[in-house]
Amino acid sequence: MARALGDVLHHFDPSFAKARPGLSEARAGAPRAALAAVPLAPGDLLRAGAVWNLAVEIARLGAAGLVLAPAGDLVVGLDEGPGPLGTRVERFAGEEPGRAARARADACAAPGAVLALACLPEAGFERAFASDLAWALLLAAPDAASLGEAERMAERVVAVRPDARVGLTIHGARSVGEARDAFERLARVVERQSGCGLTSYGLLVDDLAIYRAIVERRPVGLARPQSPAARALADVARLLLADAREAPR
Amino acid sequence: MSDLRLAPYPPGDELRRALRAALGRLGRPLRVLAEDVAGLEGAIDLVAADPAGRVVLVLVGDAGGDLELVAHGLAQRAWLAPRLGDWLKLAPELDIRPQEAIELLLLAPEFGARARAAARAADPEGISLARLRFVADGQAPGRPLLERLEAPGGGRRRSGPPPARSIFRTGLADADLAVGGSGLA
Repeated sequence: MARALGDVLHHFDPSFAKARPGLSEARAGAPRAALAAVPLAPGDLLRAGAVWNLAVEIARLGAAGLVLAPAGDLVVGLDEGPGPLGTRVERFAGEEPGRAARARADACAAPGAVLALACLPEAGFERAFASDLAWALLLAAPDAASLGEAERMAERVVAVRPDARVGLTIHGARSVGEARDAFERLARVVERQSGCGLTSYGLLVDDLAIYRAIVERRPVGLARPQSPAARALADVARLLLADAREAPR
Repeated sequence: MSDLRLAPYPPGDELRRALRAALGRLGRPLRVLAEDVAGLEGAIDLVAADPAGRVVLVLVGDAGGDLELVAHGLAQRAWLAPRLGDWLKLAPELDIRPQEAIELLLLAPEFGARARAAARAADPEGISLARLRFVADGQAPGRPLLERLEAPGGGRRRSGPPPARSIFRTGLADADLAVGGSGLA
């Protein structure tokens, strides 16, 4: 890691922060927007689309919708700049995506913004939780393979930061019961393995609608506001916003 | 802050003295009852108690000795448990609860996957792992940095806020989902 030892010491022993002029002051500025990070594989259109659509739903609920994504081809289909309903997509660059996303959120979030969503590469995702992030949002389908991937990711995050908030949204569910079963199955495993609870962020349906939304550059909530996909997105956005007001920054 | 570097662990007495002051940073105050206790074919670095009187056995391992440290800790805990009642008779002021399971707090520069898995499998509620490093600034003596690696089960849960319970949340009903995909049209 390129980060110097001195950059992270204060997380373990606050007295070290005193020895580094400027660090404490930098962290003690205006209230920050909470930052929830979503791990993505390169070209993962579904998750990127879900994040973007969630930002639009957050905006529909009256908050600022900010999406952060690394420069490059990790996230395709999201154009940098302003989007529907005042949402924004901001790209960032840096060897440490968590740190870069946090800095970008601090620089770009509208005054009073409560929540920003960051797409981060799933490889090394947990490293951002050593110091920069405290909230992960995992998206998993209700099948065993996808839940297994989410389980491993959750454990990687809490191994680095045991007090991280690890959220889970089940996507592609065909019923509330199926999503509930999937969530509870995964939560039991994570609790047993790591002692940490999972926070539920509902479910998303109609993956195809999300693909279409990003391809057509039209968010589901605007193109098909009465669709099940839009209702589910709005429900997840509502849960995220409610938790953002008390989330670790 | 210009000359920070990782420093080797200090020698025994100095190490334990530094730890006494640093253990509280792991989330709850610990009262040290005894140091460098002659245990079962080896030494126990610290025996402490949490505010509820639960005994916490603290052991420090070397780099690369993490897996051995787990086994060493389990053995020393098994050795110590039947003796706690006698300790309390001899020194009631210790104010400990020998009937409670002893918690193991294992400290080492790093814990590999095998050590973590072994600790979880052996006692997920009663073994805590924390990374211990010493950091020196210039010529000053090293200071201990403690970073908890695994939820200790009982101890942390009792003293800190309860973890988020995993309750599924949604405001939707099946009727909202319109199975069959009306939203795709």
